[in-house]
Amino acid sequence: MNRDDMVVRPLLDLRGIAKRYALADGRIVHALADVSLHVDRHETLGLVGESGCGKSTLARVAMRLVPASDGQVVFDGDDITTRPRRALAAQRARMQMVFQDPFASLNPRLTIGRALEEPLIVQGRGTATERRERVLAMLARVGLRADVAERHPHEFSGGQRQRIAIARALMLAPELLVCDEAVSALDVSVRAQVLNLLLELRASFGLAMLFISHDLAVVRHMADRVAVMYLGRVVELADRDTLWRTPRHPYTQALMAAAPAPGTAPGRKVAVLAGDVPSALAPPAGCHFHTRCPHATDRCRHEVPALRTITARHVVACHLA
Amino acid sequence: MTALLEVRGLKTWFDTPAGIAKAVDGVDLVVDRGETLALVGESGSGKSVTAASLLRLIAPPGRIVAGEVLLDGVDLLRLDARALRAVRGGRVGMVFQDLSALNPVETIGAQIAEAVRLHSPTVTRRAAWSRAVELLERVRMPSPAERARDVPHRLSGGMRQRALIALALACDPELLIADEPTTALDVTTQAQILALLAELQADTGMGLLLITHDLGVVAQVADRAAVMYAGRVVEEASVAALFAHPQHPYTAGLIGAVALEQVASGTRLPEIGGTVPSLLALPPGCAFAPRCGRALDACTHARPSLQLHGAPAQRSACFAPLPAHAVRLVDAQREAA
Repeated sequence: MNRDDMVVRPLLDLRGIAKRYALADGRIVHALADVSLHVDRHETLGLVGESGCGKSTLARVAMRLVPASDGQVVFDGDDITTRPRRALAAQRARMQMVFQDPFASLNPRLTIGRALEEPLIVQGRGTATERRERVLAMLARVGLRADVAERHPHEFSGGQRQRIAIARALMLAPELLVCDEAVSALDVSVRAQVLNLLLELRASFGLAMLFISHDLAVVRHMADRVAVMYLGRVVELADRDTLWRTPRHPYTQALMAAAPAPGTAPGRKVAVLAGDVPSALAPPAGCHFHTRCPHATDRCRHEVPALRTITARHVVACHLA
Repeated sequence: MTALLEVRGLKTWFDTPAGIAKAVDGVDLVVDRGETLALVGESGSGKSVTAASLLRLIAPPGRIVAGEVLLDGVDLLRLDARALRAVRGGRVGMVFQDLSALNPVETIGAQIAEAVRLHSPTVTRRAAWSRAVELLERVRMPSPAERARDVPHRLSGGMRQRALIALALACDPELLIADEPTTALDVTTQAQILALLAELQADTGMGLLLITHDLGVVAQVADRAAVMYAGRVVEEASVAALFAHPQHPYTAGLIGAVALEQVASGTRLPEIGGTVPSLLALPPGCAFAPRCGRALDACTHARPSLQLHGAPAQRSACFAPLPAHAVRLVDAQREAA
């Protein structure tokens, strides 16, 4: 028996992913550098970080929407990094994505019913009658009435549109759902409704999720494990409760301190991190975070910290942690 | 003593082909000197229209239909255009979410200096420039003298927001209106800007009206908060009282929906069912009644006004307010878990 068969194979395995963009003037944007993450079956991996940390780029690389500059995208043991697009249909059906802006991801001219049917047509599934039944069943599943099928995207509120986008993503019964800031544009009362829907669907479809958000509280609520990214690198990765109990990277600690929590005592003093995120055009040498880190030493300015295992299932990229 | 800002019965309506949208429909507010009042609400609640109405920044099809906006007792809604211009950017400063409020082709130093001279024409160009650099220093802009010579796109989002605050401070305002000043920013930058606003306020004693959708921001910086729903203030209280024992069911629902850390991870969140009613067709009674679990018969045909319900300095517009000793929904869920 092959050794690989002995261990549980991750559903999505991202190995040493780098993504570089060349600008017209020849400069290089280092969007991702050596990112390795995996998502197990039925597991939700949360990805947090601020704008420009590379979390959305990573999702797009994982979905093969953009090619990786280095590294491998392995889906269910199958290396799809360089597979031509036309040969990707089987994987595409098994991994689907929900974006932040449902309006931008729904064709304004198509009825909702047609938009939901589209993935079934592309994948050549079912007869017209069967497809129609599945559309209606899915609409009911996400809490929308059947007459929604005859209407167009502009007739719906943001929350309803996000329900529609989720319904469409689930039409092919995928195993992995990538949610990129899926609730970030929603009002808080609607956000709770959509998060509850995602929790329900995750359980009933047995979904694995890559759940990306800048909002720590939302990620904490949804994820089993959480990766924290900063300027194109993973700086810490741990089980959810471990991460919140014992954040080890100074950036993770700063993020948690800065996130306003309405439940805590009003008027509390918030630890403020100095400075801005450096440009991905010229990331600092050594640890990317050293320019803002209150504990940085000379070593941090020169030597890139590798991800080290602190305890089982808790890794951190910091010389001092 | 008169309040720094007192808004009474403000109504701002929009004429649309489908009818009149009552975006702001009878709002009362008070902001004292040295105080931060947060105006909180979800999209379409009327919070930004309220803010824009204060300085009459409402363009057709919108119109201010009724009310008074008293700045130190003087009604801004009745000032002539010239007097109003002196107040805008003078006694009242404004910071908006939209960073495009800066002119993209002019250096930020020049823009701030221009604001200084607009309200004090006797100041020389040179003195105005020094004042601009001073203001940038005051908002903790790194290397202020150099940044003053930069155009906005050379700056990061956080630095642009600092520049906008410096611009708003150019004439030592007594009142600063900040509409979602940190919404476009990352959380670590947001923390910086909120800390800066609190510090500036402590130094200058100005009043701050902070418009936000984010209850976390409210908890962090505000003294009092007014919660808006469908064009009206439904509750108004100190921030401590608001979070500890909200009276209005909408306030309680809103707090429950964001207090994720009070619910076990991966479990169902308390949600407010239904959706916000259309401003074109508000229900005759309380606008929240169709979504409210506590709604009485009265709620569906009469409109509750803001009133005290036993607790001092906490008012809510509700016929069935939550009692002060009520266990909050989220607490109950946690205990049940």
